[in-house]
Amino acid sequence: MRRGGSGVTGAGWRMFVGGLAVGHTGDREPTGREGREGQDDLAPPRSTWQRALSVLKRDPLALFGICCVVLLIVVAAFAPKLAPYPAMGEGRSSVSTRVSAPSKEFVLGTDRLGRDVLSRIIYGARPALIAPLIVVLLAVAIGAPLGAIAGLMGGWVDEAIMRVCDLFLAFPSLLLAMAIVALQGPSLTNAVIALAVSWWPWYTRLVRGVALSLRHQAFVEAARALGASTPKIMLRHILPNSITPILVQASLDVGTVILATTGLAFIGLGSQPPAADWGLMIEDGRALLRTAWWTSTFPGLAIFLAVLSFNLVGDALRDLFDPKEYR
Amino acid sequence: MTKAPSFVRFATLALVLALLGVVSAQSTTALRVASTASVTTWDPSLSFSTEAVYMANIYEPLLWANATGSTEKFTPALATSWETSADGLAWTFHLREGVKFHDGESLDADAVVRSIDRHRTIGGAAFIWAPVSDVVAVDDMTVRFDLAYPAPLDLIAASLYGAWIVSPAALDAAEADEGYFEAGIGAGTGPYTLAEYQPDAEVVLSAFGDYWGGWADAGHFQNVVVSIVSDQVLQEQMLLAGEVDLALSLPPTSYASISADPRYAVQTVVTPFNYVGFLNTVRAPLDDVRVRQAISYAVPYDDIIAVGAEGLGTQGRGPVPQGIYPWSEEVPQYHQDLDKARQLLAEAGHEGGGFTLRLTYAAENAIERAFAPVLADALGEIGIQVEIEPLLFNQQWAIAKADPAEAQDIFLLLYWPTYSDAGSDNLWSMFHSSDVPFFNLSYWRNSVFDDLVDRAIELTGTDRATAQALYVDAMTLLVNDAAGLYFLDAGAWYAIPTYLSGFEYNINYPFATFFYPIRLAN
Repeated sequence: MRRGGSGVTGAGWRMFVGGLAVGHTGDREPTGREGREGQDDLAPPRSTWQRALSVLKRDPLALFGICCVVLLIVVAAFAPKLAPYPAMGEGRSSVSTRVSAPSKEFVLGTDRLGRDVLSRIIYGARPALIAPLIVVLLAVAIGAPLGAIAGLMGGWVDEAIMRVCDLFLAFPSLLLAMAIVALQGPSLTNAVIALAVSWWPWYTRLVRGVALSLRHQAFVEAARALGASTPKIMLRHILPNSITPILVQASLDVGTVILATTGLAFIGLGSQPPAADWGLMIEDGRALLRTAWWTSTFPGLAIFLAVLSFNLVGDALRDLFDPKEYR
Repeated sequence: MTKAPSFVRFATLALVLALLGVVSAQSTTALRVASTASVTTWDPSLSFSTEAVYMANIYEPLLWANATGSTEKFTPALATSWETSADGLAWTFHLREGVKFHDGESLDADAVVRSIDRHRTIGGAAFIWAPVSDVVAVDDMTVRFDLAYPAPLDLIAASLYGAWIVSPAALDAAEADEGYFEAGIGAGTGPYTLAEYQPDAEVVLSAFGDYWGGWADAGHFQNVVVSIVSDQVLQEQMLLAGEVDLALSLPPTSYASISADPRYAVQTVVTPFNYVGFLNTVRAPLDDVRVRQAISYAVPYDDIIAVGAEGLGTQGRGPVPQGIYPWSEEVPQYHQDLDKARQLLAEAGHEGGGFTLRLTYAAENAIERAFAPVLADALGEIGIQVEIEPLLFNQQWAIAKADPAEAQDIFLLLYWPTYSDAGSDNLWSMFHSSDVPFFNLSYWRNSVFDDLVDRAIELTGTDRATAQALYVDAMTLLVNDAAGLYFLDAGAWYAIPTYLSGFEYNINYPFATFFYPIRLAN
């Protein structure tokens, strides 16, 4: 399980590539369903690979989600190469071309400062992707060990950690983040820190649940009997076994955090101009919605697609690791 | 239920609602207004903020200052006539007969003395009365102001803040209970009484039957219902949907589309809102006048007006807004000239720029937010890097006041005069030397300027022409020394439905809208 788990980060990629390359083998079967039933009788237990393939076959939306996520990553990585006007993407204004409708020159039009909306969206993919990843990583880094400790140790340690969690969970995460940003001053970095601070308790709960279910399992008892210390059990048994649920939760959370970071930018508490940020672009174009719809519609679509695709990927991962699928 | 009837029913409902909308849009009983103005206090002395919209309809001062272009400078309000002594140290006001307060009390000299004394002691804008040493009731209907030094008391008495005349009964009640007004009590002489108030939601004003101006003429609105809507885009939607008759803050970006709409007559106005950039004159490299001038030549004034104010504004001439005394066309302006800017930089030993400046602005100000990047890009053209730092205004200001040596290089500020004298306010507050920075955030010190402004302030009450000339000299000096950047005097616009008449913007009362003169056209 541990090996399979740690390999999963790469599995998303391979699933995608595999889905295209190995498609032919699938075609030989009369239909997916029949083929699978046929396989069950003969085939040895299926590998993660094979299951990934079958999830993708049954769920074209997942494939779409993965394509979008990959596209997003490529766009973010090669923004200066892909943007038609890299300088505008970085924030250079061009008052003479302000608020122009979509045209050959500016495919998605220009904003209030005359900047190419397409270039801004391409550059905006960077904070849209990196900020939520950092938030989720930070939240996992804080939350998961605490959850493992709480679940394993039980008693007052568990009580203390979980009550602190409850305290954080009692506030809506966006509200808590707003309060923190208001104190620290508005910037993307502060928004990321604030969101991570309000997001970690979810992972603590998740990992604590796993730890509780595992602490009396034979292999944990065995490790304990052999004299393994609590930190060792945590590192070797609990955390590796939590990777799957964490991964599923994290991929779903990335979508939500994209909404949160862009939302904070929208209300002026996240990225600050002239940075390219989808939330900021929507806010900037809000007053123009009636007269220049393209200024906020396209960044809105970008957010929609990004959140949707991360959710689809999250759903696919959940299907992939669903025990019912192990046959 | 079948499909067709439900559709018909829906269509009928929609039609009825649409008709209701049209009919209610022209109702004579209530004027429906959307305004961003929330109420920080109902106390006419403490008022120093957005509630002025309502105050100006509930209360009246001794005089109203007239809008730009009027032949007379003032309109008599509670004083019908006034005169000043030759030395400018005594101002006498004769009060209007037969004026009633909303609570039934009558206007007399005692009410004026008590109101002004209260404003002078606890008022939010108490400082405007600084020149006054005493307020005396000469007789029942005559009040004399004794001044310690000459000052334009007519302008002061016409202030939007700290100059309302309040009922003596209400003043008694407020003496017993500090929070008396806060329950939503209006105790003025104005055309409307405060009928209802829901914090941050709605203010309802009702016609005051005994108003001295009278209600005999047809067409005045008996009620004014103001919805407090902080969002400009929402206000625009309410206006277009016919939910309100007047929306007082519309998004600048909608100017073109609403101007083209035949349902509205669009009025563009000049406001006293002035956007300034302070250059930190106590620290290198901006301690060199040539660098400051280079920056002044690099500013893209036209682009800033286009981006920040959608073209509704004019380039500033010094820190005095157009239309407000002592603004003058004789004060010089810079125009964008990048070659000249580069040359000046080179002369100052900064060939090709190569240094970085820190610019702060108030993150909550949409106009500064819009034009700060344009300014930064233009300075980039002459090799000056600008780090833009948006801060909430209170933080921005606190940093600027703390230690000039550690503070920002460029500070963007929106400023407007408390009452219509930008000499004693804008010029003095923003550029007069002072040991502790307050609003003089260039930290500029110039004794010639100080002397000119001090003399002009003293002469404003008695010899306005000479004072004006001194101010022009002071502003010319200021602009040439480039202690600040004068981006724009912001304009504004109002969309008045064609079924309304009588709306008039008065630059002396930028936060007020007067509802009494507004009527149904025809």
